[in-house]
Amino acid sequence: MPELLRLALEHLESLPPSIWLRRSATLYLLVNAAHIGAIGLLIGSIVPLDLRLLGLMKPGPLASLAPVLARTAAVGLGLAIVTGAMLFSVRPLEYLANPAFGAKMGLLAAGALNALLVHRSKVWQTVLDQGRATGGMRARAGASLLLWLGCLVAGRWIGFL
Amino acid sequence: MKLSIRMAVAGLVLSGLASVAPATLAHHGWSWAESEQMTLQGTVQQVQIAPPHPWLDVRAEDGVWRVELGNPTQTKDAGFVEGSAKPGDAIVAVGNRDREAGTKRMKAVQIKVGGKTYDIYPSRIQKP
Repeated sequence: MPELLRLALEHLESLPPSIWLRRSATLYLLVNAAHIGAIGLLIGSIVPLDLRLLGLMKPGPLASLAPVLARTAAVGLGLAIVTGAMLFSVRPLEYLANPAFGAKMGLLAAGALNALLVHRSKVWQTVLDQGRATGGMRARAGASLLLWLGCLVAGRWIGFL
Repeated sequence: MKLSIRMAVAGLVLSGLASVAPATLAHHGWSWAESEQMTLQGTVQQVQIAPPHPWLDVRAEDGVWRVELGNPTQTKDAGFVEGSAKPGDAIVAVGNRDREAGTKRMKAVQIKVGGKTYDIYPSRIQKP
């Protein structure tokens, strides 16, 4: 591990939020619960959105469902990142050495990048304007489904290594 | 009818992804550990007291063992806190080892270190 990174992580461990989380089991469990809740929000909205885009789920007009589900997923992701960073700060060096944590971060980055690219794309505009998903949109919805569910599994795997 | 087949396929894919089960269920419960208890003697190499799962690394004759303690509250209630053990201390840990023979991992019910005895899981300590 590069010396600078190690120093940065040791500094992170000495910051107040990290110290509070280590001292208080109650605070830790509340942040942990918030992290799970945020993941629930993300998965609970991105899975129906992707299935709807793939045509595996029919009900509801896509043009009105898509923005609501996408925004809910984004809020869930934001909360998951904030709470996840707090949990990470409790044992940064240990998490960094955990292969499942590395996989989770990779899948998270790929999932977020995919979402960002979709958000800026023409195919997403077609969804919003015409309520239909083109082939390109479906391919990205399929990728999104696999990336986020993979991220979920990798995340849970951290505790089993 | 077409719809229900599509839903079934989607359900199958999702359940397949969800069922990727880890080989060992470390930390939680006792099902991953042997029911018979063992005694480990060695020196403390590293102590981790922070949540979610406090543990110790113990250097023994046959290598380094990961000794898992209770959850943070159980561990604290047992009296084991930051500074209770430090690298280099002699330690005796009684507990249940991983069922997988090659894995040097155990869940401690009682540890003796620094002249003190900590009952992590009092009800599980087997009387001799």
